[in-house]
Amino acid sequence: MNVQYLRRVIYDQVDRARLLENEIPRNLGHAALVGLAASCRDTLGEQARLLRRSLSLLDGSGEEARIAEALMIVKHSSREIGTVEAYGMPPLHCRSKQAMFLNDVLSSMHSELGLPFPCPAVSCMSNEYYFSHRPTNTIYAPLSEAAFLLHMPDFYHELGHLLLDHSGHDAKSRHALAGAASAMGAIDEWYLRQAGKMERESAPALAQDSVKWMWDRWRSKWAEEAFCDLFALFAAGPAYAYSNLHLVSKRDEDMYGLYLFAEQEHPAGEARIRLLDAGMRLLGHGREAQHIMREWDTMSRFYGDPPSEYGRAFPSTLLQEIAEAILPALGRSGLHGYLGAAGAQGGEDETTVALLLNDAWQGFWDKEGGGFRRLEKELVSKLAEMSRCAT
Amino acid sequence: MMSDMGLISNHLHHASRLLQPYILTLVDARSRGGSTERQDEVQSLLAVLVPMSLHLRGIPYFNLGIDGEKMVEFLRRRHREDWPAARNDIIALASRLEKNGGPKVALSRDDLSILDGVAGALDSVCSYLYRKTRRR
Repeated sequence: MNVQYLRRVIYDQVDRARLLENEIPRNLGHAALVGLAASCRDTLGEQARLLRRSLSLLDGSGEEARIAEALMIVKHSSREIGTVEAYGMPPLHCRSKQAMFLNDVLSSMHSELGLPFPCPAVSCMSNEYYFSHRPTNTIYAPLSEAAFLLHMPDFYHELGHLLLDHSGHDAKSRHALAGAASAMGAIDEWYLRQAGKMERESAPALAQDSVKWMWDRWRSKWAEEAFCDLFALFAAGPAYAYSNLHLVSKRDEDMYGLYLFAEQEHPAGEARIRLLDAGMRLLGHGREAQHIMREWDTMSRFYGDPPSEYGRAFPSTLLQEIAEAILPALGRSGLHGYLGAAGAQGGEDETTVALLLNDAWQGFWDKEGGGFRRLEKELVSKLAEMSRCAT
Repeated sequence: MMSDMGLISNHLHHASRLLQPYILTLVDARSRGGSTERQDEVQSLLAVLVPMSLHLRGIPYFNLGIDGEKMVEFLRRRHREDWPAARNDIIALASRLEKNGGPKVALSRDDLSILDGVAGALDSVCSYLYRKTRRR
């Protein structure tokens, strides 16, 4: 590669970082956004310094290895700067009333739980449902979510991802990580047994490979999703399980999704419902668990049968063991999980975001016709008031 | 329920957080004629090499860091002709650095070349994930 050209690329990237830094607005009006602005500024400053440093690698002998190092730094910095631009800047620049409301709600959830990491910012410009973006500590949600409550428990799932990312830095998250590690132990044990059994029985190579693939998927992707589902259940109670049922019913093209040897990021929707069923029973929400499974049984009649390998990928015994490993660890963590109305310490008047979201779900099942929407609007106003006061 | 976008960006975040200190250690070690001086430098190399070596030996690990499968795929592309030897070199170097324990490690030209290859593969994983986060 031409050294002169690489040097110009570096100057161009430094300019880009500097421009973005100047584009970060001031007077953001919300602690989470102020935190996001600071972290964007830090990243941009760090990458500009790194890029300037890489120039010195091009000053010397022209050694191939040095040029390769400089090129790698340029690529790394470009990605970091691009990430800030694509995911850090939008919440800072688009502070609509919906976005500010969701920032207030998330702050309330964060403080009610007593989470041990800085409160994430919210952007309501997602075109991919809810997702957390760890590099910028931001949660993306769709715009209309600010007017509805039934899917709002999904914020708790996203907070679970951020908790796992933070794990090990303090006592609360160490408990959470211990739960996740213990679940991983159960997964390993299960698949070691499966792999051993198949080997003894001289099962076909393809079947043996499929078990290895399932094991790898659990380790690399599915276990984290299972942790976050259980964390959300711990934090929001039955409202999260209802929200999950609602989402699976509305969106999943295949509830028994199992795409052998593909990059399947999530466990099948049906398996997640069974996991939450196990979790709800462990947490003492047996009545709601029964209700969800009844609704689910009706729904599942409209889908075909699961593929033949499905039972090996998502066995109920393993799902139960995962719930038994994670939920007690969260219970010991010192985080404030959902205790239901009986757990409110300030009497009947005290409410929390999690309680309010459960009230919304109760209303969804109880009210006929337009009654629920009227209730939901009232609860949205109440939530706005509560969250504004809290922040 | 987290979307694929969230998971992909998180994996990119982890891989990127490993890559930056790894490259800087390589840069500094080469400037000193091939030696590390600090414990955090050795740690930054081990943070990539150990999971890589475990993966190459078929030992699963709690993967909240790098995607072992993708790393191997990119490494194999770099070593089409001599993959078995390259694989053994990575395992041996990881083991030597782990056993060394201290902050000072003398790295030969061959060691640096192995570390360059691993850095290249990790950089490719980051680029691959980054492209996926931008393909909307």
